[in-house]
Amino acid sequence: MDSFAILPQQLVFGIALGTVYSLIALGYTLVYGILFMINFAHGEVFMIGAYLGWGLLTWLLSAQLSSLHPLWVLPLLLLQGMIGAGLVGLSLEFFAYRPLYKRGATRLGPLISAVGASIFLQNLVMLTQGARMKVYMTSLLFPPSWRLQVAGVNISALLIVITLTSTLLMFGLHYLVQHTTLGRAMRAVAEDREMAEIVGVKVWRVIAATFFLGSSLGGAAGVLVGLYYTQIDFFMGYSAGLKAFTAAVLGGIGNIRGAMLGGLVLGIAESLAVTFMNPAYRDVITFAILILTLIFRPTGLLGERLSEWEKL
Amino acid sequence: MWTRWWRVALTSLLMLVMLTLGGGGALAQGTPLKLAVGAPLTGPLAKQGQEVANAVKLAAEEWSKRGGILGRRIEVLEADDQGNPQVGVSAAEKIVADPSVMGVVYGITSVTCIPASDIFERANLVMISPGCTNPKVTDRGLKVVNRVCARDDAQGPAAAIFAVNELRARKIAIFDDGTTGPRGAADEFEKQARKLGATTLRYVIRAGEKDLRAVLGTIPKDVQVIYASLWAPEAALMAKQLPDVGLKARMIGPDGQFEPVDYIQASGGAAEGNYVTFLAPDMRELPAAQAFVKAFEAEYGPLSSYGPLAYEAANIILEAVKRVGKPDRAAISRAVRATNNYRGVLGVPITFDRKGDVAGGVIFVYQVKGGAFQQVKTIVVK
Repeated sequence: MDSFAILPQQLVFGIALGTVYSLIALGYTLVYGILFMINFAHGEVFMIGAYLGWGLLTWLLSAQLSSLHPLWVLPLLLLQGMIGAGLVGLSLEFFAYRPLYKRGATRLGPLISAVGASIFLQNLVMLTQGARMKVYMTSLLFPPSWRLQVAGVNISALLIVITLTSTLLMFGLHYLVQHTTLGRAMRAVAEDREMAEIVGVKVWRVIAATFFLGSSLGGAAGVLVGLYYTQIDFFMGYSAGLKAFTAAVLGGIGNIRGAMLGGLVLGIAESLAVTFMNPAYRDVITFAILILTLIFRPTGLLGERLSEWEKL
Repeated sequence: MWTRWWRVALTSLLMLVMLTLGGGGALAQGTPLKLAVGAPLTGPLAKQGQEVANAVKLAAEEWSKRGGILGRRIEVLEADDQGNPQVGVSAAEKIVADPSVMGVVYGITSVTCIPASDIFERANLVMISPGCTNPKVTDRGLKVVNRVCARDDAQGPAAAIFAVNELRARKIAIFDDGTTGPRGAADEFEKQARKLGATTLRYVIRAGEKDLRAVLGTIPKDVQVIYASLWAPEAALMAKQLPDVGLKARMIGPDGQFEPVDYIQASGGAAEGNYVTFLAPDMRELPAAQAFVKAFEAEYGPLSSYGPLAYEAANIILEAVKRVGKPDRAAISRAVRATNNYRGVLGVPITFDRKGDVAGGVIFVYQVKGGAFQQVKTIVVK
């Protein structure tokens, strides 16, 4: 079959996948922008968000409520996933990173601590929830018959919801960082931590808030991925985290707009790669893009720092 | 300073104790004999793996209740291979290291069966697999390896015969996950389907991949049947995501999808009407199996996949231990291979051939109907 005929459909899938990558990538980028540290446990925060959403959805379904309308169920799932994941992010910062920074650790210490926290969270979920995959009964919330046919392109209601929700959340973050007091404090800390402290910014409170924000976006992505892929397991954070990290680096780590762009580019690139090449090469494409970026544009598509964002 | 010396002394003492325990050659009388079981007890295939372990435990309990063998109780040593070759090798090492183990019921994934069997061969420890279907498992001519399931060169072709002759498919998309077992079945399917005149297209998706939409989107819309040589979780995803790309094709899958929870339920109804080939007939229809089904379900809940095959394998090994009459691994291995016309719960008499395969290849085709597997066809592959 002609590969070009299915191109629009593949683009739609790529955009949906891309917005989810972007949402996770923002968590990496926010933390990096402020602490210059890769929070490798972020994938696990995302995974916990997915489990929280699953728990609530399963409970709602078993409660036999007369009608489960996505209009109120979806915000509820997202809210719970975001707050839960945000709290996990907060405790990560408090227990795994802050003590190290307070004792004057270099960049390597917190990085190792992050890897440790990641393994800890993975195993915690495996031991408490079991190693078997969990299934989001999405079809009861979004019947498969809810779909659009536009010029031969098949778009399910769920796909629209996911793309819209991710985009909304990203615009929300954009507004928060750019137009609020907290956002200004965040940018100040990213620019120069000592100077910010001197002018009265409560640096550790800002760092904690950043962790909460990034993690809650990760949690929201977890819920959305759960709804979209319908199967979650304790290991899902690993590959998703790796892809999102690639997206963040691609866009320019530390740069919020870069993370959004990077995720989108990566999602579309993967979908197109599958269209024109053997699908087994999907990850080869992803990581080839990462390597090429690092060689030819080490600071990413849009450059690195969070603070520089305003100047762009 | 002193604490350090204590630590050194303690460690050496511990090591000494462990060495004497591990090196103890002859078995003391009255200690139990062990039957080992290796399967994925955790991970995505845990459901099927747990059923294998439970069926072996049931067989061991029944033998113990009847007075055991040589006056000794039968205990089960469980080893988790996670469906992963590296983990499988260490599981096998753990099994052969225990001198009271007399045989192993091992593996539902060919990718672990093959490396693990090399370790059993070196230890002269007999193995029967309930679900490793790749030809290479027995084709390497190992003395200790046997299986009670049919091979992929029976299962793949049976599915192809069904797809072309029964479903009248002219154009078939074939998927596998790139690992030994599923790929082998897909290869055999492709060969037979082509022989019968169908056009085939090959695709690969990695095990654990969650978003199949982009790959499914590249399938031509006139494909009528998809042979999905995948495990239950991926097959459920595929069934669920097919409508997203506007494809109305029936799926056929191998034994790994014969799992009501991880396939039918996980698909949320999307698997309805699809077909799965399996290595055992519907146990509820077999008079010889009723006692087993009842005992199993009373203790472990609904029987759904490899349980009957594992139970059969365990009994064949224990029967051989009894015939040999002494805990001699090599002799037991020879006795298992000599199994002739064993009539157990599977409804077909079991005789192992020169390579350790069951003579003849009978494959059972099931369809997902009303959320359960219904046997619809029996296919004999010559």
